[in-house]
Amino acid sequence: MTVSTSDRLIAGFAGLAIAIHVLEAALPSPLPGVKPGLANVVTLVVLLRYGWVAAAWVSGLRVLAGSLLLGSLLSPTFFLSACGAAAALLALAAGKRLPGHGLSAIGFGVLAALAHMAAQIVAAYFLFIGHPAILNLVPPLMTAAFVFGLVSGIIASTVLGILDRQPNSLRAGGS
Amino acid sequence: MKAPTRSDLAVLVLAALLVGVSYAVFWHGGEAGGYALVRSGGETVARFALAGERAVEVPGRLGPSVLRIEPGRVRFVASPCRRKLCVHAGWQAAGGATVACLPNGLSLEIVGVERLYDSINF
Amino acid sequence: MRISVYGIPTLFACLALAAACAPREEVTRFQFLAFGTLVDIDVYGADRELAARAAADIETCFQALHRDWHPWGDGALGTINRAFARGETAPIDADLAGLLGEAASLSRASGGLFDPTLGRLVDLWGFSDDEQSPVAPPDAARIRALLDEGLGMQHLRIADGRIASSNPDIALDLGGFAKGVAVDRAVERLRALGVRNAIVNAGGDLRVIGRHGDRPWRIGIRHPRGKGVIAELEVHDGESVFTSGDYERYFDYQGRRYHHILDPRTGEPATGAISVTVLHRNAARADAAVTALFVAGSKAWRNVAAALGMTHVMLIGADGHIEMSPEMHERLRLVQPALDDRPRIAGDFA
Repeated sequence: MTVSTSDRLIAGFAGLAIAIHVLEAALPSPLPGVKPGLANVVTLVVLLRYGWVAAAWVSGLRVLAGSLLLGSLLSPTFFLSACGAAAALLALAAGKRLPGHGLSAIGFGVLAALAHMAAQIVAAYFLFIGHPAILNLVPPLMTAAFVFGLVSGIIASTVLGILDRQPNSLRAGGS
Repeated sequence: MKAPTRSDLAVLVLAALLVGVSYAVFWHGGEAGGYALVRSGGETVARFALAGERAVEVPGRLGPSVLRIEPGRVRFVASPCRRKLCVHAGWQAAGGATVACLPNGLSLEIVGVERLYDSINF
Repeated sequence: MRISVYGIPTLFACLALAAACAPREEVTRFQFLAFGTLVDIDVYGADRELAARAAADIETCFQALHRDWHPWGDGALGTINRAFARGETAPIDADLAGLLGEAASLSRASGGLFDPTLGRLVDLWGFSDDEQSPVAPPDAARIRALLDEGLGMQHLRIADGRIASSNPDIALDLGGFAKGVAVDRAVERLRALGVRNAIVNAGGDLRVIGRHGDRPWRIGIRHPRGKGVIAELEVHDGESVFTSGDYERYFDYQGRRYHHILDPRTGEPATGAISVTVLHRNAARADAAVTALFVAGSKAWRNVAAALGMTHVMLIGADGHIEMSPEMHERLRLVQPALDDRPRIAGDFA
């Protein structure tokens, strides 16, 4: 098996996403664990430049590598994470099929973030405990997902604009 | 940065609506008043948000019991049992508070609000 | 956990999980119907299986006690009451004999205000029926006839494993004592099984073991007129909180409330209080005491409390004012005034 250009691209972007995630983990934060989520920008950029399959690879590798780094592989946290990522990718695939001129990074960002959050709430509710208290947290969680999805979409859109202005930027063959 | 497309705007509007609806569905006017869990023979048979003012019927062994729901509180108002202990127990608002109607096989517990007390004495 | 924009929702979901399951995992609630009431056993910490086994044990135990101690059932107490009515003696086991001995000494200490021999009176009022509520008070002449015969534990003799009554109108009714005994036994059972932090709440009357993690157990006392919680207190290992109120079992007739706590002196529902709460280490004694203190009412409760060794007492009077012993005042915090919006905390300390 040969290492193709797209393999290298995926590995590179996944590495970038993991690096951002590690950097963010070191940032101080008002709430434990709450980060701006810049790593998601990478997924959006990959989606819009190289397509859904590449984005799925980057996202999947990040779930795996992230949980390996943090030692949470196959733990409940990992399943929540995987559920969220899978739902987000499905939402991105659905977004790709929208009629008209399609979505930009902003639309994709919001779509993915909401799907991710909704899937995690549902998974948490059924996987762990059907405690009604969790339902009280749905509105603020969805609001946070919306805001962070929007922000990451805007950043991804800006990054894409910069990449587009550089003629010798990386391009996957044939796309 | 590219200008958002029309589809983007549609997605944003729909997403914002969805978030708004989640407040309406789960928060009822911005306040979490908790829920009344109704159990029959150990099984949860109904769950009512303690929001708005309404009366609901819950089927029991002898017949329907009627609960009165107001923001943040709930009580039995009618019951097919003879002694009406459940009705006499009055309003319940504290997280974890329970009332039972033994003849009708129903019990009610308040959940989803911060529990100020571990147990209620009466 | 990944930290990304999807990680934020993940984190929120984890926060949600933590918020949702933290109290859930800390305290496990077992609930069952027994003793004609709803019993909650809340266990903190101890592993679920241990707690589940303890709860199942206690349920079986309560059901057996309910049968044995029902005044008109097929159990031991029902058999004794039927024998009394025929003017005969009845066999009694050591456990029940010991219990009646304890009840007799509490009855004596309370000056007869706690009286476990009122079975016929309770039945006459219709409060012994588990299914039905009475609709009207009984004929005054019939009440008088019962009282004239002279009730009270002094009419009973226990010897050689048999119990005898000198008055065929006496019937034992352990209401106001049995629930306390049952709660004490449940607590013993839980301790024996290694449960170190729990609350046993049988129809509102409770006793605690240990603590809720790093804080004591917190108890709310229900408002006697159904307006939520009237007072709160922290309860420490081994302590029980018992309340007797006119709201627990009653019927209204011609604009007057007739409740189930009968005054052995008049044969009518006691009128000196609408609720009495005590805090005491022994649930059985606490149970008997709330009944006696309720009957004593706002005028006489201090002497009765002293005679029964009850230091922590709160009484809500017929007009809605609140009286407390200084010791209770120190432990308990009122969260709302009783009925007239002007709590009058009477007492030596006022």
